[in-house]
Amino acid sequence: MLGPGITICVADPNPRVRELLRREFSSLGCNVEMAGAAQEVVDKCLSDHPPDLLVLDPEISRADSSPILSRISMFMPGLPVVLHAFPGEALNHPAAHKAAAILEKGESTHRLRDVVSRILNERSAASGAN
Amino acid sequence: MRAYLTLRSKIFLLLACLAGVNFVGAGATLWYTFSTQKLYKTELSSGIESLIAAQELETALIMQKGYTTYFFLDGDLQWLESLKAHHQAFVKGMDQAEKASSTDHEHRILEKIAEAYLEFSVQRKVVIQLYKDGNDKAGASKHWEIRKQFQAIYTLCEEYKDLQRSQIEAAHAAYQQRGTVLSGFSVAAVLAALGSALLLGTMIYKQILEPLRRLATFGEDTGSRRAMGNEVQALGRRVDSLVQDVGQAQMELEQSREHLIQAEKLAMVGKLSAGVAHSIRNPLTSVKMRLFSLERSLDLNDIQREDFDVISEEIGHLNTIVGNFLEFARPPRLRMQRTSLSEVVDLTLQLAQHRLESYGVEAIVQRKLKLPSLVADPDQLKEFLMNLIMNACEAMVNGGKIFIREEAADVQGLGACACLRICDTGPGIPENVEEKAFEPFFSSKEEGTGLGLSIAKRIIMEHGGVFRLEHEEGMGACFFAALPLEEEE
Repeated sequence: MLGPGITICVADPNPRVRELLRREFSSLGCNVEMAGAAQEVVDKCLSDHPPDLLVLDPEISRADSSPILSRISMFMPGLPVVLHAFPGEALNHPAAHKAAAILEKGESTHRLRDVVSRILNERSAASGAN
Repeated sequence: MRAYLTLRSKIFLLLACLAGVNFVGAGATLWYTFSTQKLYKTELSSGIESLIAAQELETALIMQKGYTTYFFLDGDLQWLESLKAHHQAFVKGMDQAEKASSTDHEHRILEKIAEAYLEFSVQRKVVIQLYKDGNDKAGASKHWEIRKQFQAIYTLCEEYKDLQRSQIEAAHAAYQQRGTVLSGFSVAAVLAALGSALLLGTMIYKQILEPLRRLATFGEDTGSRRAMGNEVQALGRRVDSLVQDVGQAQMELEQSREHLIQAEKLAMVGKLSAGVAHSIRNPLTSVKMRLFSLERSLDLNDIQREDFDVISEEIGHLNTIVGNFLEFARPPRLRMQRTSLSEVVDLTLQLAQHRLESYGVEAIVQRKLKLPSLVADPDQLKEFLMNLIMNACEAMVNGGKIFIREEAADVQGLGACACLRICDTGPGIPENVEEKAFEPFFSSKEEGTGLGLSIAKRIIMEHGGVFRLEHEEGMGACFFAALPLEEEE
């Protein structure tokens, strides 16, 4: 399912990680949008052309009083979010249950790619059934 | 006024009252003794002397009258000699009475006696001369006449004697009156002394002895109170004990202060470490991810592959160090749930299997029965075990064994506990670093962060358990951990 016509938003405070993920998903033909701050993520998700999936490092809203995952879940309840967090932090995240998947940051990007692909397939299957 | 007086002032006041009453009582007794002696010497003694003199005057007078009559009857001159002796006795008696007399009334009576006696003596000489001349009839007639003068002198002597008697009685009455006053005063002094002593005794008992007793027996049972003996000595012992306690408390306070300073330093270091670790983690993660990406496109020979693997491992090691620092500085909140420690052991060994194999270490679980469930954070307990397993693996560079012994036992101060003994066959922890082994940032390994044991200990302590180093024959490092078992609801 990963390929042209799919927009993925990569939200990570580290520009090098953002760039790596952009390259990975772009190589599969996906349209990739990047956000380096919490407000950017919200803006992109609430735009006229929202992404199909959000890869989010919760560290991006570290200084934010309102946790970004809760905000996105509130305004975009249908948007699947993959939490891409540091080991130990992903599972402990208070809004972890709102995420479609949780992945530890630092592993191979293959795993992330597989998980994103699976989620999009499931969504596509679900919308087709409807 | 009582409120303004201190206890010391009150006691001094009462002691002064007691001393004053005793002093006044003793002074009054002395005064009474001296005044009685004086009364005896002046009033009573002189009165008795005057009374005796009056009696002697009477006797001498009567005897003179008798001797004159005897001379008339037999004309013996011997009677005149006796008469003369009693005349001298009368004169002497008059002299003594004059000396003993002190009032005008006495002097006046004595003057009358002297005048009457002089006249009587002259007339008696006439009578005696008439008898000597043989003129008995005229003598007898004259003798009868002077009887009236004799009677008058005798009456004056009686009057003088009565006067002395009444003076003695007056002195006696004065003596009795003084005695009554002194008795009253003595009774008042005794009552005042008794009252002061009672007040003083009550005050000493209530405000000194009883508080002393309470202080000496504070916190002791009835048996100890009875066996206490002298309160002051008991209080002394108690004060000694308190001084020792204060010394101990001061020592502990100083130790606590040192620990606090140490803890503050550690907190600061932890905070700093966390900041540094957090800053390092971001680029490190990026490096790691890029390395994975690079790996896909590289066609490496054996040497390049070895270099690449070492770089990957070292980055993994760095990641672990950073993770440890962050965990130490920002310990996660415990998520307590009913869990089985035996299952935690099994899961941890399962997770660590790959690491154990890579180190050539075999983990052996010694378990008779699964441990009872307890309320704990299973993730934190996994981390606790993982830290100890990694510690043992890193210590046994040439491989070895880790023994994990499970048992349910009573632990002093905790009661029923689920206990784990984790021992390895490594070199063990040297005795000289045993005390420091649990301190943060202390490591005997070249690549250690010095946080593994510290984090392990913190996890067990947060669960209300105990964690300590033990020694077991034939083993290397040996750790004991106990977690209290809570009763099932």
